[in-house]
Amino acid sequence: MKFLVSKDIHSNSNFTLLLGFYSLMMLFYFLGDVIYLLNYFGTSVSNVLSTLKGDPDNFIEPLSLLSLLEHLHISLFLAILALFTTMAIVLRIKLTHTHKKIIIILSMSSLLLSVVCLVGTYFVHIAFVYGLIIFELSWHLLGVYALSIIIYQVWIKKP
Amino acid sequence: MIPKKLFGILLFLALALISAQLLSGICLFIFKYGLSPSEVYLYFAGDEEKFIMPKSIEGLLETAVPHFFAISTTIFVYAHFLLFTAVISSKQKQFLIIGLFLTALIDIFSPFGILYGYKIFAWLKVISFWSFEFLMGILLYTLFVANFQNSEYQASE
Repeated sequence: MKFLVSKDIHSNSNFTLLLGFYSLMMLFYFLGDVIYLLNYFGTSVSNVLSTLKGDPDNFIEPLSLLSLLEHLHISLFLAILALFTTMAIVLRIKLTHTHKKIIIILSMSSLLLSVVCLVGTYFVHIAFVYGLIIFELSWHLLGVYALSIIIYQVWIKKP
Repeated sequence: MIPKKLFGILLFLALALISAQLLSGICLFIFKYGLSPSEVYLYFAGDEEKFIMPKSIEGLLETAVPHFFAISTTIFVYAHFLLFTAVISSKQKQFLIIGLFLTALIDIFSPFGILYGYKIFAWLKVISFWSFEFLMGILLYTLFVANFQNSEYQASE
């Protein structure tokens, strides 16, 4: 069996077209997910805490364990798929080894730590909320950064 | 060419993340349905005396349809790395792949049987769910081992 796709992603125009549009759609996913999360948890530390732990003064019920698990289960699956495929492309684009390493390690471990902080905020201590916000923003921003480089390389300025 | 070590790091982190995702699935199963087949049956078939409404076909489809996509994609994405490893034999790989897909299918289809009053499907649901999680555990463990035994791992180039 002979596949037409080359190891070099820049040498096949159809492949760069495919990668470009895939990255564009993924870019919308990463940006859309930030908006969704801001809408789901709130836009400030106090909002996130009242969503997760409730706020008796404002008659806000805490998020049920079942809702938290459902949110975690679905969002984590989507995030893994989006980030893993994006980083698989990052491995093949023209960047320095260190640059690739930083993007991959920081983004993937930020996603992992955001899960830890979400569970930590809910079960352990409210201080984890800062980690949750920082790591959620980090993996989204790194994803957007990586996808922007991919789009730039496959469509705008081919190295 | 893909830097082998960097690919190993990416795979390691992806395996850690999917392990967390599986753990969330296990917690969800326990909190939502319970551990015993009778609890699972009660959740889907309902009970008038306990004021538990039976689940509707639409409700089951809402869960089943995304799971067809999600589980098949997860198995495909992670199990395809098995093809590049020599940690387990070819026969064991076949057993693992067939087992994963079969248990996932039984797990997804069982609630429909429960809805029609067959208690055996509650047993099937419980057995297939835990078998699936066990096989996924084996798959992830195999990939973790393969990832560390770098010489046996051939990153696709």
